[in-house]
Amino acid sequence: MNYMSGSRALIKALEREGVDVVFGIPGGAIMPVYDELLNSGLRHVLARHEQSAAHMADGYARASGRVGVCMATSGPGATNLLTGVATAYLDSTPLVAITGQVPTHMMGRDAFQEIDAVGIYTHVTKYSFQPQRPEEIPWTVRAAFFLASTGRTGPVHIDLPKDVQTGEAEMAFPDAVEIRGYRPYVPPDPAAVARALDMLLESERPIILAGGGVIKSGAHDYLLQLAESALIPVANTLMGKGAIPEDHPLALGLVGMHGTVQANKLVNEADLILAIGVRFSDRTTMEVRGFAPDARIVHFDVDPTEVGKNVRASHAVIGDLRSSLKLLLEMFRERARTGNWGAWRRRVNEVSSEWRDRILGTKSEFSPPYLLRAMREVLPPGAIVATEVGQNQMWAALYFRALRPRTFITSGGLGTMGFGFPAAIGAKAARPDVPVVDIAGDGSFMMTMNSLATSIDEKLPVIVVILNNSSLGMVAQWQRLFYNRRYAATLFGANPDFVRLAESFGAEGVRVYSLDEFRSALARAMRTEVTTVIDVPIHPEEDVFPFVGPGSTLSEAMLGDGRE
Amino acid sequence: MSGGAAGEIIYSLVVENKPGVLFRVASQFRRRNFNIESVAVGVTERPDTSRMIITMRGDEQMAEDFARVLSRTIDVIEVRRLDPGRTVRRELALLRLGPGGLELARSVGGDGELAVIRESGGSTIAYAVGSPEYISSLVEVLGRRKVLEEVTRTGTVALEASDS
Repeated sequence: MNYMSGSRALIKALEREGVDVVFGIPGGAIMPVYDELLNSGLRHVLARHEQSAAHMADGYARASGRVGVCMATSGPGATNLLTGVATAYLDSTPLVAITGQVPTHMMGRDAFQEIDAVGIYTHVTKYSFQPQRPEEIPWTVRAAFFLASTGRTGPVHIDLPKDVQTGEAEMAFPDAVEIRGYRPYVPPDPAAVARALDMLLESERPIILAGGGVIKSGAHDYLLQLAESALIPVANTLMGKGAIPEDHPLALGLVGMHGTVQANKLVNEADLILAIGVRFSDRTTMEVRGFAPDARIVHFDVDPTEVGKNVRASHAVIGDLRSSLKLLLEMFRERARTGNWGAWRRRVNEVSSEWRDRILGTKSEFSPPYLLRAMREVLPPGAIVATEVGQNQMWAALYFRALRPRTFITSGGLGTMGFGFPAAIGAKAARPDVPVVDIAGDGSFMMTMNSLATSIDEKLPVIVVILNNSSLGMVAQWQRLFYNRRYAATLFGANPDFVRLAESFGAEGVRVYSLDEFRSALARAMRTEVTTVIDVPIHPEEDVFPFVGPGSTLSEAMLGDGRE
Repeated sequence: MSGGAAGEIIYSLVVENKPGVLFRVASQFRRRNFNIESVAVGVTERPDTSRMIITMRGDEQMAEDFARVLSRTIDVIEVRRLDPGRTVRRELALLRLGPGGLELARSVGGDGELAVIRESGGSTIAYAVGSPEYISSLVEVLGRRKVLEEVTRTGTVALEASDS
């Protein structure tokens, strides 16, 4: 017999999905579910703000490739959670977000902690469900995980009225669901792949642009084989960082506003871009008219709405990227020839060797690029790095080399400050076997630093490296460059003492003043069983270079040597 | 044919017949600041699905890109763009007419027809069925002469003529 409450059915359905951890905060409208959690084997990680709960689930999902689950109560719980869910939506992270809701008979009456959660979440999720009867819950949970984890992955929301949680019914747990308007399994058209290969072989200056889709679909191994077989250089978007090991000779690094010199130069010289799982965000292309002006674009993506959205593609291959790249690689090997790429290879080597190890525009050796290179030397290759948002993120994208997929976790699309620390905690829950570091700025860290309590309580130790410039650094950088050094609301007068702050939570805190101190603090933190906060006071006017200013094209980067 | 020309675009969608679907479809238009000129929704021959006929103005490339967006919307089962040149379109309007309104309405030519539903005192309720252009010219002429007290329009329904 499967006669049970909606709450029991929810927990059982989560267990059937293989969920092992849920991140959340309880409240009035979700109490029946929390009560039922006590009867289950599910681990619950208690956040200190719902936004962080969603970021933790997001970090868990990005580190593991599995669906992250977060939970909150109605009203303010749901609105707080929203920023984290929107962050996941913009970066296509598979997430299931569950919120409590007032009982169905109270809905629409402005009941206590009532908000139209479905109305709000519809805009930042693949779908938002609100079961009206307890017996709808098993199907809804199966459908939510199916939607979240297939096609272009992303967050799905379930809003659970309290009476639907407490009501009892005979439950049927489906193994598969069918949703008529949703067809995620599109096999790539072999003729389209063959045409893409023709275009590649006809080209003289090909380049691969790898995006987050490569990592999400697990296509990175085929990507690397293709790049190595054809000796084509690989640039990456922010979300594509880790798609190819960045110490690989063919890896050019990040393209875009803060792209490397070699990646931006070579993308703009290319006559063919194999764009794989990218969405050509404005931070990648900058001024579209000046983006790769000589290139034909061959766009591979699972989501047909991406083709032609931001740039016009000459050709598109729609479908699962892993299948598409596998097919492309097989066809390439069958043809047993490459293009006429000798001159291009020499050019790639020339540009790449000139620029790939250069550090641009720093004020001293105790500056973020050097610190991040030192971090790479200390951390094992499998270590996971999350970032906050702002200068810290761009320094990390430029100068910290990711060596494996799913080891670089950052809020790309929404650019959510406060993301990195809770995402690191979530990643640690997924991968307790590897060190997890949050590359932080003081501004971002202060948005979610109360997650220190979670990391201590739940024994999820991570390392926070605060590149501390006592300011909202990226905005201040723009003010230096474009607003005549008028610092409107970017300089912090009084920052907390982050060492004592960490200690007050039961974490370790340490402040370092040299690269050597930094290396040894990091090595010690990896051996420590609690979270360590490493406060690194940097020069407050360090800027991130290269920098393609707003309204400029990729060929117009500032390199930090002749600043405005 | 891409570029600035803002031609008529007609989408015919088959969607789930359940709460929230119109909201989800409409929010895709709102996000891009597209103005829906007309929307008509009704249950299809299958009771668990509805058909939405949505018209707006825009260029060809935008219309094609947006069709893919609509198609990706999970409650949308099928998206077709109807070719305005081969599509039969009809709209129904109920008109409350003041004195002299009926005579004037009858004098308006076009692809459609007009009939009286009820007359009482000085006021007449009539219906008009026809092309959206016919209904629009009725409303315009009657309004200009101040004999149209109230009008309610259904929005355009459309079917593409089959070639066979």
